[in-house]
Amino acid sequence: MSPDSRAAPLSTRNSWHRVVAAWRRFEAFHDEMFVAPWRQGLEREARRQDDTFRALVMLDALGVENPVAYETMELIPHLVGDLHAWHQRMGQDTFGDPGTCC
Amino acid sequence: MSPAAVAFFGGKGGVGKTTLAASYALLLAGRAQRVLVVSTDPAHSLGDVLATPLGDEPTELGGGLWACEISGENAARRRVEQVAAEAREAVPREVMPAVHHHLQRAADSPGTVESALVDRLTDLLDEIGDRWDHVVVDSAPTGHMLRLLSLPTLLTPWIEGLSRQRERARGTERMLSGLLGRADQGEDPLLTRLHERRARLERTRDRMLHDSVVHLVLVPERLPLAETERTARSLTEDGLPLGSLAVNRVAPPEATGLLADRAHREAEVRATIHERFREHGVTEVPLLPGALTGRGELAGIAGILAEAGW
Amino acid sequence: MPAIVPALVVLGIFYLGYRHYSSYLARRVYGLDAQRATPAHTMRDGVDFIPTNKHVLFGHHFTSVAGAAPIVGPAVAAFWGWGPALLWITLGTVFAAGVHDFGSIVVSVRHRAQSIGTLASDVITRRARTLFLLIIFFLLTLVNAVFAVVISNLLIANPAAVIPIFLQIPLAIGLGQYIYRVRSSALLPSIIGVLVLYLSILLGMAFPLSIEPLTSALGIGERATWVVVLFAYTFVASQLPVWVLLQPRDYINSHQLFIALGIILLGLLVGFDVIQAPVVNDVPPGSKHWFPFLFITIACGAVSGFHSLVSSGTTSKQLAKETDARYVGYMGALGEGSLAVASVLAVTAGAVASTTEWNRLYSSFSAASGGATQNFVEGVAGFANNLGLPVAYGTVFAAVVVVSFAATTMDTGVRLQRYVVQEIGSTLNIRPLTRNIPLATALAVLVPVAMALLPGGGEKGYTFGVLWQLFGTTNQLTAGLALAVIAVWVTKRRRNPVAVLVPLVFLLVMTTWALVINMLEFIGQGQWVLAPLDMIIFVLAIWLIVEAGLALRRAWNDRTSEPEPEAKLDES
Repeated sequence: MSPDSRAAPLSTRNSWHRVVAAWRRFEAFHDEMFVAPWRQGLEREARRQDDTFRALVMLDALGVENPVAYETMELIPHLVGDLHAWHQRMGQDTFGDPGTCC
Repeated sequence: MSPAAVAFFGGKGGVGKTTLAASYALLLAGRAQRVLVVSTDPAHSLGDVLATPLGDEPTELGGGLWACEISGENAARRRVEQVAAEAREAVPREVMPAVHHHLQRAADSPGTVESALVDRLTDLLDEIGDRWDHVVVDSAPTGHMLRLLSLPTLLTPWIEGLSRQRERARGTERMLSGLLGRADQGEDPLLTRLHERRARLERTRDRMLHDSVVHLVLVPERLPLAETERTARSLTEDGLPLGSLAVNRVAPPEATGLLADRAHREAEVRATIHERFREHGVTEVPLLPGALTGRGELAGIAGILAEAGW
Repeated sequence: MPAIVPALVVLGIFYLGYRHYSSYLARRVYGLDAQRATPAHTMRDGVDFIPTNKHVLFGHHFTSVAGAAPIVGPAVAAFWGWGPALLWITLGTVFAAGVHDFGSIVVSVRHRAQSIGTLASDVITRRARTLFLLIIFFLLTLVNAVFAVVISNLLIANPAAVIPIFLQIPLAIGLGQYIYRVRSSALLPSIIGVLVLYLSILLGMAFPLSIEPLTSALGIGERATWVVVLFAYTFVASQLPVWVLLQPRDYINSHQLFIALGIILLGLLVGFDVIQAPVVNDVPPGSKHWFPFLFITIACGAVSGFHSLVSSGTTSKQLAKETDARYVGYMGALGEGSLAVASVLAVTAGAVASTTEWNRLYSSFSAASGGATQNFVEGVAGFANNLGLPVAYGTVFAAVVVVSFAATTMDTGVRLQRYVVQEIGSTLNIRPLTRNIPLATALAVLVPVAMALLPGGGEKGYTFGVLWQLFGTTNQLTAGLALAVIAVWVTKRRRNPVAVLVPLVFLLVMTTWALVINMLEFIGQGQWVLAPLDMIIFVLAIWLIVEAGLALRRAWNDRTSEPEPEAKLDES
């Protein structure tokens, strides 16, 4: 803190703090009201893109023949982590043989 | 003109592909070249022809010659093991059963064995200029060989599509982390791997299209000729360079008895072959006595090829 | 009469509607239960399913549903005088839109927050989903066609708006990139962005751009040229990733919505503008009667099926408590109704200083509908002028706001249409449609282009209002389908469905009636683009009536024997 502001009268500092606090509150409100839908839309889009990619790599898991299964084998460990949430989004409540998921 | 770095020998089963491939390899080795001859036929006979046991790893046979017999099944199995081993380091233990399950599914996928074979072949082709100057491939019977040769061209767009989708997903994620005020995670391991795979496939595709030659082998009979013509057409359609044709086991014209009869029948077929394949070149290899195994006996055939300008 | 008087009366009725009628709906018809866990909790995933404060959720819901449509319809319908328009907006909002928007959220919340298309197949029949897809296909096609014409008309009437509107594109992209890259709070850059946009209006006023010299030299229509330019833009824009342009634009628009609403309300309040239009207009002979055409001219603003898509697709996933559905859904309908009221008052009071002037603007249905949006823009400028903004600036400002809304609607519309085309393609097994995105987009763009331009469209030819009414019709059918879903659901739980059945029957009767009159007229005039279109929509309407009737009868027969327990609205 600069010596000037320290020297400023208490009331000025208080009102400055109040302005900053009000700005912060407004910022929070604005974020929740206006930025949140954007963020949410983008999250949805990111998930959709990711789901599409996963579906393309794990075609055979969806019952479609996958000609590049061998080429993409090393991607599998990176994709099985959140497999459960994925297949539920893809509209299958249970998935795979017993023991592999669910 | 120096011969192409890679020579594929293809044709129906039992026409003598392996013998000719091995002889050609010997011929090149005799010209002070380092040569690998590799069999991709699931029913390997290269070891028998060279009279020495061969495995997946190239065996040095001396005189600048290496040989091996590779198998798609083995390559696929090794790859599953390798990916699983890497996964054990990288992912939580509780998802390992799912990893195994999906890897097995991928291993059982219809195209996997062929892809694995191409992958193994790529390893060997990548050593051209390093361990050897030429690779001679003793292919499996025709259909199998055609698929093998077209696979890199077929798969590259798939991998490209996957990369594009991954890039799209990553692009969105990058914007999202910006919006969330998070630092971006940097390089994407999946994208790196996809790029590696694509580069590999493209390398092999380019080598097959621009630095290879396919020698079709046949015996002078009507049915094998018809098949050879079909194969030649589909190779040309795929842009693969067709080299000199090898007509194997030609009955000697001066023969008598049963063979004379055969020679007579062959004459017509041979005339057609010469006419149809003139532009690619046709080399005739006479019907030879003996088992035709071991380097000594193959040297005779190598001599015939050399004489024909191979 | 001062415009503020009917405005306050309508808002008063809206208040009573919220206070009493929505409470009745919550208790007796929908049987809300504050204790029941909502999908936002049970399926929480941090992306779609997030329990959200009801005021914030109302903000999100309202910005998604409000757009240019509740502005255009009422501005056209003022042709019949402000009385019928305000009456329909008031009754429609309280008894149809409120029931519909509120009910869509409730049914969706009780069905794992599924969307209305899926609900139609779950609650009615699988066939109903196909019907839904087809209705949506025509809804989106018509929405893109009418908005292309709306934007073109505004750009022709306001050459000063051209520069700010085109500047908005790089501005939105730049704002997006800045916020993605800098990772700081979005508030300050957003304020600067909006300021730059409104400053660029001055630039536009200094350099008004008109394509008229160019088009007349080439001998082509000015409006047709704009329509083509707009669809070319939409074709490209809708293929960009959403985060590049669409999302930042939508974001800027959500600010514009509140700024514009603030200016309209404040201006109306301080200015005391007087309504110059008659209560019931003595329409020129040969014009269509307001009954039943009013009910398909004002769709959004009185009741809009589009809201059921937002209610069930997005809002229901974020509802923290079941009882919040009343606030978010019913208030959302009231918000849209208020926008429609503002539109009626803008074109009857704000835009004109005398009755003669008004009579000139609304001399015929054709003049009224073609100029409706421009009248609204001038009305807003009139209100803004009460606050000290020059009329010239206010006009461009309002034009920029309406064009911004309409342009993002077109972008979103084409994207949605692409999905619909792909889905129809997969139902009919036409592979190129499902896999080729530029092709699906081209199809999503070309059909509305044809509708906006082909015989009868373009410069002269059928009046814009007719195309607009067809859009209204599909919107009402969408609402009808959603209401049918709600009615079936309510009936199955042995609750009284009359509150849902009345608007459902009313909408279906008015829509089909108007469709039949129009069809006869189109055939009589040899309108060979509109007649078949009208016929197809008529078939869809009949299909919907049959489907809804059958489903209701089934629901009546297998009502659960036990009535649902009483609503629990308290949190204790």
